[in-house]
Amino acid sequence: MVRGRTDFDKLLRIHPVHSAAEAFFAVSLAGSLFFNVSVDAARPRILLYLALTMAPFALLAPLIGPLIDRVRGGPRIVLSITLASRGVLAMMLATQLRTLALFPLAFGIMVLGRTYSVARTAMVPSLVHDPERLVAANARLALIGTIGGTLGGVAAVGVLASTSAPWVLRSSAIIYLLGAVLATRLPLSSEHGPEAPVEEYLELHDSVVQATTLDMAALRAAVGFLFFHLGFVLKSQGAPAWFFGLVLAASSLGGFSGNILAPWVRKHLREQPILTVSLIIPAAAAFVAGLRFHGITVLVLVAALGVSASIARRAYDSVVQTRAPHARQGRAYAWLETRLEVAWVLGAFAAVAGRLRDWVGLMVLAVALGLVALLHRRWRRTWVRLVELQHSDPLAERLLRTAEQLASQGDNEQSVITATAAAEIASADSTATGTNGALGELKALRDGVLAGAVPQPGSALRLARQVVSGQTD
Amino acid sequence: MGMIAASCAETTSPQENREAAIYTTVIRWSMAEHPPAPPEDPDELPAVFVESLTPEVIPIEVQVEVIDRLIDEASVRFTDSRAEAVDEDDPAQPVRAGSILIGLGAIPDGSAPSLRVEIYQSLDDVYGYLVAVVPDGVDWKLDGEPEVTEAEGLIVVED
Repeated sequence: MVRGRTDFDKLLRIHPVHSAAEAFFAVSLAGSLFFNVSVDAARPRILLYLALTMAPFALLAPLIGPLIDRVRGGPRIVLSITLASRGVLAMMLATQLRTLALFPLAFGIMVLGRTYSVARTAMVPSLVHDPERLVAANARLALIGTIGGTLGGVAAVGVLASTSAPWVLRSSAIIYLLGAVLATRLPLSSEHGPEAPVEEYLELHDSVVQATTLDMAALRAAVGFLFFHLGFVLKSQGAPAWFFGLVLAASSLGGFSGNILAPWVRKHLREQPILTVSLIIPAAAAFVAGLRFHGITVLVLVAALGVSASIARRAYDSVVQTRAPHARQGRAYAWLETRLEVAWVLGAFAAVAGRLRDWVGLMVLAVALGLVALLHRRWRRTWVRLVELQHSDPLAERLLRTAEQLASQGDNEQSVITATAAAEIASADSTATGTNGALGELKALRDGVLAGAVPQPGSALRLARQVVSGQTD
Repeated sequence: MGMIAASCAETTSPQENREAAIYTTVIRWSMAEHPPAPPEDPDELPAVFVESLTPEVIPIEVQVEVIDRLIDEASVRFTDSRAEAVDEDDPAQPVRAGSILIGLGAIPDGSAPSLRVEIYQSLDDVYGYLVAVVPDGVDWKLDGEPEVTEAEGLIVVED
């Protein structure tokens, strides 16, 4: 292994360890009570603990970002806690795999895993000092995480075959604790660019970022839904434990393939078409699996969803980086990641509460993803058309609209200066001289703002409208 | 902390204990009367599938208690659907791995309840019994020979 020279390299060592531990935990469930109790009897418990663990997560996860940003040693604290806690819970679960305590302990580990994901995503901007490298950094993390998870899964199966499920869990506990130790080597202080909370807020609520987040949330919800739906269905159909392992392997392989393919795909397609296709592919695979519920179609669906989710994630990271360049603080990424994790939970909840038959659940999934793809496409068409219309207007008019928006948001200084710029451009383009008086007044208002006077956006906008529309005094 | 507290708070009620003890006795008798095929791996325990004969699900607390009581004798798997236990691709529709599917009826109140028990091995091997049990210290035991009855709940109605 290459000696880590940067702070990000430290995270690159922690993440595969986390993924390997998660794989051990997943494999250990093969020896749990889940395979001995009836699905209908287990369902209320699963719903209960899904709600009990995820509700506080949804409330507290947005606090992770500020903790990482502002508290000295925040990154190492959060990551260490999420890893060490899982180690402790895994050790407890090793003696409780065949008791009812399986449910609270297993869901505790799951929700801490979700918390880790939010924390890890939130700290990447502080560890990668070049903003242009964020997407590549996340891609590296995802790839090495998949490798760690795959190797961990193989090793876990070996441990299970030679010992028992409790020993798989004890092994996972050791690996989690190793990750916690590695996390203590993360830097004490975080580096961020200058804060720009207004711009950050506006950029994160930009319609493109919002629409893209919805697409990504739909894919996450699909993953959560499929995980629980297939878990119940395959158990009800008497699928052997090794087939569950095959499903996990297909998911890993899909994720790994997606991470490998993502750079090539991004060279040939822009982000928005990537997201549309990433929704359509698993929708189609779910439709086929719904028509013919079979081991092969199920594995293809799981792999397809893994590939699509990975590729879409890279496109999503790119959109956020491009459209929200001021969102460099951990809190911004924690906020976005929390929404995606909550979507996963909602998908899981729908699967558990829905009690759908095998093919029905897959058809519902196909329809849901297809609808989101359709909505995305319609939104994209409308947005492209609006942008074209907007750009077809003269620059002066567009600047004037911007000045009006700034005034409506209370940003009076920028409004006056932007209105003046609009009028200057309109005046330069126009041969009419009757608006010189208005332009002169406007410039005086702007000079006043620059000298510290109270801005008068109402007057500035009125004068700018006169000039831009060519109205004479 | 909540998870730890929740995991420590799981206990069965006296009613659940009673049901678990009776079901354990009945399952043990069923395995002796219609032994499941021994597994290929001699280190593994035989699997036994259990289904409720009533519309109500056997509570998970009872299921867990039964599984725990028989942990050294069999791998007990509670099911909701026939497909989990029965190989429906085989024309004879046998229980998977040569095992047995035990249907358990509701347990009436009282100190000497009788409950309906059915045992399914394949389409042509379905047996029904009325099993009476009485307390035996902390456990329960059969009260005489079970009465043979018509099997109804586990009968597969062919199209």
